[in-house]
Amino acid sequence: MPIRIPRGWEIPESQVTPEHLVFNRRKALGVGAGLVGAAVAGPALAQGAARALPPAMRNTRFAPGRDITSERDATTYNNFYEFGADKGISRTAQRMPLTPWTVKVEGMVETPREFGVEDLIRTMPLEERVYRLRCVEAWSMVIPWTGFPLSVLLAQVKPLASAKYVRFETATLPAVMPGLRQAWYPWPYIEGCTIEEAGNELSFMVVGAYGKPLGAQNGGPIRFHQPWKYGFKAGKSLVKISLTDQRPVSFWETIQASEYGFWANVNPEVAHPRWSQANERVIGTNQRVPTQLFNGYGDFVASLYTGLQNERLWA
Amino acid sequence: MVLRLLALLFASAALLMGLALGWGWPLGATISRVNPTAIPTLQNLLSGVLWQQAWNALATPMLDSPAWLAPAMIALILFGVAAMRPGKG
Repeated sequence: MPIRIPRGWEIPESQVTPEHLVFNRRKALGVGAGLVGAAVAGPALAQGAARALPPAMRNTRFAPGRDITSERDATTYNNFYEFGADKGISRTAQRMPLTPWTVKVEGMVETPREFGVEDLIRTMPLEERVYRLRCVEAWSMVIPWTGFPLSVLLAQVKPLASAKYVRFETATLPAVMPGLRQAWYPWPYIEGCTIEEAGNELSFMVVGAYGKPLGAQNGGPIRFHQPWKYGFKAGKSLVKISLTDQRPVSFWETIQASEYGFWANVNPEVAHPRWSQANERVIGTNQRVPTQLFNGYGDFVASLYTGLQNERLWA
Repeated sequence: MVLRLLALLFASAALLMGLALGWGWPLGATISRVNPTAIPTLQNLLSGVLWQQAWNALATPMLDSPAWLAPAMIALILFGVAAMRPGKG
């Protein structure tokens, strides 16, 4: 007769909860959580729940040195002019359908492609990076983004040697973006950077934040972020990325080039024409903290600008 | 007299704007060029004090209209008021 020695984690069969009770409880919890979630967060979470984001390891190489901004603040205080020029566009933005969503990568590349965001989420090497975000309006946040390096995406289309710039284009969906009625703005929202900046390890394609799929108000389902530049340089809700040999003229540059230029690197010593950039209001706190050159990422990016002293690097 | 002078000033401004910017150039673009944060600030103010629809219904069409139109309208109103108050305009 075999002798059975129970392992440390085993408990007697009599103490095991019957299967039907476990599954009923999970169902009840699931329904309850769904109702509470939908009531509290509205359509944002409901939409997020419909999309999926696998867990991503945090990359500790880019420690922000500051507390992470609360998810509520980061998702309710947003600049996204397609939905309106005020900060409270979060609710309006939820009307934008985020699936299916594709982004074309084209222009001066060997193999232009159109990527489904869900496919990118499934196939790209996702990681979490906690980046500081410095707005040109002298406020800042710290956000845990999930995404992948832009260089990995570009490698898939093989940029030609003649490509000098990367141009980012945001969606224009008049049915769900009331801000587009402000016809005096030069839609679509265009941004750009040099091919060298795009290849920098900090340049990040973002598909999630706070461990969830990226919400529309933050530029979902896919956006760009270069943390050493002012926030307006980051194109949101991207539909097209083009490689080109012409320097892109951005949305804000078209409106007022003297205030919002192509480079827009963070520099506390170069004031905006109407306010100082020496310090920044940390959203969610009562603090103002000193702004750092390149938003504190100088070790990673300063070398990109060697020999470019004649450019307007700070506006 | 003062009203007529003001009306003349606004009419001249309208004419200059039309000639300098073009007759179709929108007011919103003009304001944005002078101060890109003016319109967002105005929208925040209007949305906060009144309601969001006030922006969509009133401000957006006005800002989307040609830049010369607003001063021209003000000039017309001032001329009208001055005409109704003979001797005091």
